[in-house]
Amino acid sequence: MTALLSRGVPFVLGRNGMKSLQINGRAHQFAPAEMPATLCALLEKLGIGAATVVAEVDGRIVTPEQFAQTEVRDGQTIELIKFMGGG
Amino acid sequence: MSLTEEQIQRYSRNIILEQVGGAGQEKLLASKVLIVGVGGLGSPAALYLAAAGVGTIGLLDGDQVDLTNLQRQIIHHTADVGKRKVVSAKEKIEAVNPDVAVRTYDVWARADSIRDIIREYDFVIDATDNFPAKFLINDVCHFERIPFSHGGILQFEGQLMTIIPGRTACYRCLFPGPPPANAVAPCGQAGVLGVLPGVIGLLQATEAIKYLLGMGGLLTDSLLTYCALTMEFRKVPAQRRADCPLCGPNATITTLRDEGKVVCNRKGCKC
Amino acid sequence: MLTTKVDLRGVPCPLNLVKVKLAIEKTAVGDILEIEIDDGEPIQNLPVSLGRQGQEIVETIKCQGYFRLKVRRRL
Ligand SMILES: [Zn+2]
Repeated sequence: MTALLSRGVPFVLGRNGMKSLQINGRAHQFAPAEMPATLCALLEKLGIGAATVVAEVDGRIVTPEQFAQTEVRDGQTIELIKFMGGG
Repeated sequence: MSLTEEQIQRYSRNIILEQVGGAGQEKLLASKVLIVGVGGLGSPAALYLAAAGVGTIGLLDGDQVDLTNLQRQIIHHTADVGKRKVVSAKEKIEAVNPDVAVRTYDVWARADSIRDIIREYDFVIDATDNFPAKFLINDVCHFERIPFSHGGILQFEGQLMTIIPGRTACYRCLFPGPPPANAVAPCGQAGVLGVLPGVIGLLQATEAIKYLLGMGGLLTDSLLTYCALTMEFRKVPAQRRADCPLCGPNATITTLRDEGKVVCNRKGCKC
Repeated sequence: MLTTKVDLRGVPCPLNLVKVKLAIEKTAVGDILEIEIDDGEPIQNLPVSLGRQGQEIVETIKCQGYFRLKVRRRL
C-alpha cells in the first residue's frame, strides 16, 4: 500500500478514468485523450523548454536527449529539474 | 592553538553551542574554504564564513565590480564600482574579521588554472554564474576529491546540492552536461530577484560550516530547490548514477576540460 | 579524577558560561571543575545553564560576595 501511495495511485482510482502524474510534488490530472505519451509531449503541454531541464521519472534521471523516447505512464512521479547557471 | 580573549568573545555564540564548542571554533579557524565567484552567491557566503571565523578564505573571480552588481552582490559597495571584485571582497572580509587570511585569485575559472588552487582547500563553494565554470568545478573537485557545494539561481528560483566526491551524487549525475548554448538565459538577460542569491549563498555557507565541523546531515544525494514566489523548498532525491560520465564506473570524462567558453562575451552582458 | 579551578569573578553573563564551557572541554568526563562566580546574575543563570547542558552541580558554597561551584562533567 505504501508503494501505491507514493506513486500517487489513489488519485487515479475511481476518477472517471482520469490519468494522473505527480509533477514536482503536485498531482496533475489528465483525461485519457489528453495524457501526454512522452516526456517531450509533457514538457510541451506544460510550456517548458526541453533544453532547460533534466527529468527524474520515478527516481531515474532522464537527460534531454532521451525525452522523445521516454514514455510517460499513469501514476508516475516526475521531477523536472531546471538548469540554473546564475550566481 | 588556543583561543585568545578576543576570540572567545567574538565567537562566544558559536562556542556556546554544544555541537561547536571551543574545539569546533578552533577547527573553523584552521579551515580553508574557496569561494569561486564573488557575486550574488559568493558575497553572502564570504561575509558569513568570515564572521564565523573560517580561518582562510580563498576568493576566485576575474571580474570587476559593476553598478548592476550592487542590487544583490552585497560584499561590494557603491564606492567599489570599477574595482577588482577579489580586492573589494578582501577589504570587506578583513573589516568584518581580521582573524581571516584572505587569498585572492583575480582569474577566471579555467581548466588550466583552477586545479592547483582547489587542491589547497578543505571545501569549495561554487558561486559561479555560468555553466562551463559549474561543470569545471564539479570535475576538478571530483579528480581532487574535494567536497563542494553547487549553487545556482535563475530569476526567482535557486538550487543547491552538496557533493562529497566518490561518495555522493555529483553535479553530472544530475546534469550530465551543460544545456545547449542560449537555451538558458544568463542572469543579465533573464533578471534575478536581488534577495534570491542571499538565500542560496547562505545555505551553501551553512553546508560548508557543517562539513568543516562534521555536524548534522549534509545536503548530499539530493538537490534542494527554492522558489521565492511560492516560498517552497523542495528536496529532490538525486542518487549516484551508474552511467554518470564523470563518477560512474564507465566514466568518459577522465581528464579536465572546459565546457565551452567561460566568460560571456555578449556585448554589454553583465552575466 | 582531576579538579580544575577557574576564577570567573568579574566576568559577566553570558561570557562566564562560554568560559566555563571552554574549561569543561579541557577536562575529561567525570572530572570536577571548581568555579568561582559573582553573586547576582551569574549565580542565578550559570547553574541553570550548566544543568541544561547536561552537567552536574555537585556543590554550591556561598562565600563572601561570591559563590564557589563544583561542577562534574557528565558529557
Ligand atoms: Zn556523477
